Amino acid sequence: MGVVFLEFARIREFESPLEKYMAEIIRDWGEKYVTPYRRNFDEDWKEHRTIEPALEKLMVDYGIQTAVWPEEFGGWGLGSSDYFGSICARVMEEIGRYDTGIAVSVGVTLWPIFVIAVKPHINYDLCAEFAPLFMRKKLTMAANAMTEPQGGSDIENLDEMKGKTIRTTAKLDGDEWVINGHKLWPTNSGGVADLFGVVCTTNPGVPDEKNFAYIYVPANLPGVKQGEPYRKAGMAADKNSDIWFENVRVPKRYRAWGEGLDAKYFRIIISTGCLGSAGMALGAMENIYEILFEKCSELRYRGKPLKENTAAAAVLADIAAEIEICRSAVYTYARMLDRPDYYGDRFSAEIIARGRALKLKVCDACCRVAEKAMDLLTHYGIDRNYDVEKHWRDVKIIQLWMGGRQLCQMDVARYFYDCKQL
Amino acid sequence: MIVQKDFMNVDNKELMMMKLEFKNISELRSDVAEMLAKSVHEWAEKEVIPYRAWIDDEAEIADKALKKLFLDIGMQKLVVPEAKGGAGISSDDLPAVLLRSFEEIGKADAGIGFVLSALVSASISSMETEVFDYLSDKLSNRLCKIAIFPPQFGKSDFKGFELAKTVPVGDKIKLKGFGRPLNSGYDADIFAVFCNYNGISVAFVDAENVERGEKIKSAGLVASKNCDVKINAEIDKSRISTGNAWKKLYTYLNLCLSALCVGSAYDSCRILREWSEKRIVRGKPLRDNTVDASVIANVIRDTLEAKAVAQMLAMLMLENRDDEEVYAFSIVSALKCSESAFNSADRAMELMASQGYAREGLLEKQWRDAKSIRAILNPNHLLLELSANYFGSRLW
Repeated sequence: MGVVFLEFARIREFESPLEKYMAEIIRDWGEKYVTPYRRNFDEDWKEHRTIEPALEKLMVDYGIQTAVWPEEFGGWGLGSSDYFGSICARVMEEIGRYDTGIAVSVGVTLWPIFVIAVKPHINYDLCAEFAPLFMRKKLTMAANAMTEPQGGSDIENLDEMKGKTIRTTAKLDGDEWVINGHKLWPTNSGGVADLFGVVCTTNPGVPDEKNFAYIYVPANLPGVKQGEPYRKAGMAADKNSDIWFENVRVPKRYRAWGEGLDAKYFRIIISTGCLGSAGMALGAMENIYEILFEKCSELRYRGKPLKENTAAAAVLADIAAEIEICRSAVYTYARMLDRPDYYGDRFSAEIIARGRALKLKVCDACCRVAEKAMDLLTHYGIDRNYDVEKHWRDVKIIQLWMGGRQLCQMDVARYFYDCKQL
Repeated sequence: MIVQKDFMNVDNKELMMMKLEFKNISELRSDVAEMLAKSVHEWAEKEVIPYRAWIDDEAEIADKALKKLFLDIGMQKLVVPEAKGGAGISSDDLPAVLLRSFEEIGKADAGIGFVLSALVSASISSMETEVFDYLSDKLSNRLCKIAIFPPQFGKSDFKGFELAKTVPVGDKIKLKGFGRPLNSGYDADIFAVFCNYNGISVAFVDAENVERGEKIKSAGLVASKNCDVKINAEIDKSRISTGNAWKKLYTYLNLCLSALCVGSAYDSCRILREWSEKRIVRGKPLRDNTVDASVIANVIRDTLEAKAVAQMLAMLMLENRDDEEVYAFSIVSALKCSESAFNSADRAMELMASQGYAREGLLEKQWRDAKSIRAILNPNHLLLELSANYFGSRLW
């Protein structure tokens, strides 16, 4: 690239050696396997001919798909690390710098595993069952099947709805769960995932967290059907589709933890989802900064580089300030997830609320940064050869997923203002 | 209590819901404007709406619709004299006609409207000049696109930007420039080039004198096929509009784009309204949750504000005002309306979440198109222009 960009703020004392090493290899991967191809990702949304090799390199050759599983099952044991949050954030940040679609595809593969492979809740039986799938030298992906046609953000709105609107059912029949339902939009659906973590209810329509069931379903089982990927504004590397579960039978032990505990530990999906979303949005912002640095040095306005004009410099400063603050916030929250002994359980109401607040602010900032960058570059800003517009299209969905801004706002208000009726 | 009970009756609530459409103020209503708007509306229903989800992938959809609009409806001949087969719309009728018809186009496809905006504003800017005869002939014969080649990034001879260079060669003018047109560089028949002839002028150059680069892939406005171009032409002096022509061009462009953005914002409102009735959140329709209703309110507020500002611009254009004053306000209007169109789509998407982000939902197209117009307008630069116009800031 030539220019060495400054690093935005974070407390370096909390940077683990593994995190630093992973950042280096991801940058190397990104420059070789993503940057040369990413302008064509939009045309590759359905086939993933250029996207899949990049994913395979990262997940299989660099071993990211094994990262969370405990060491005794061949994984890196990230779930037992005191740097769990910081490493997750850094991985998402570095991948997001190149492509947030790939970042979410990677993140969502790790997501369902968090429920059973992160201390203090490690389910060794299920780890023994599913870890070997991810230890193969073959691209292996997972997905979190959560959203439903009628429910939207109500499914994620556990504290208010208590699982009342979930319509995907799990009925016990002897030693097997029989699952029926229809899910929409899971990342890595559309034929990508090998394993689903499925949000179900054991008692439809009844608002009680005991009925909330999180059950693992291998994608190749009879009765699992997936639709064609959706066409979207962006995020081509993230395939989404419908999934239908029709009398799908899985062993009883595939339920993550059991009554009450599924809902409790499922909340780690919310806290890590917020961290991951903020991390990848941060990466996208940093790449936008790098592009602006380069282009605003080249483009000349009023006889001098664009960046040397005070009006443009003020916009550039606002962008840098957003990134500076967002990075320190992301790693502050990551550190909270590193150390539940100091900051509370990763599934606690406090940590969830702080995560929602982080996602709300960083995603808003990211959308703003991308919008300002496009305006600054004017007709080059909308040109796909400049990559800024790709980030702009991609990052919007980060703001919208996991219940979007409004659910973030409700979770934040509930905790910080002690609201009882939200 | 009985009244209150009736008030809450679902049917009555439906009746109470205001229509989204908001008629223009009476001074801006005319038979010609309404007739044309009706034709454009029918064109949209038939040629665009049924195919809109595929318009980005299949170029022929936009091409066919654009041709129908330009030729069959006659939008490219709006100001061409009736004797030459045009509509011969007078200057007095133009603001109302443009306001209504571009609003209708904006509800269907902002990209097609964007290409038309350039053509209409360039042709209007040449009225009462020698160029008009040449343009009238071109516009009355066959499908024609005009690309605007604005001042480019570079030196500082036009408010911080660089004009195409002219050199007199006998009775002719040699014209050179390189850069990116506002629209349609890849398939335009004529280029309206901002150049440094007698101050700032607009030269009309046939496409055969223009070398085109590779077609650019863009975030939106797919009907506008653009590329970088190299202009190297020798033209008659009669092909150059001098004086305030460039300002007139920008003023009309800003009016067309303002109206286009109003239409786009309305379409986002319409899409959101359908969703907010159907979507059930927390056991009730989305629109009945206060947190969502407040976002909906901002979407409609943005849309109505844009409509008000665009009408204000049209009214100013009908009055005997100083050109500079109208030009300056047209900047306000374009900035406001493009911002509103984007905000409406962006915030509607916030509530529709993945459904708004999916191609099939159609909102995301308005979102990409509105943002593209906003970015192309170069808001940071236009704000400086406003400061110069209203506060006399000496910036250039």
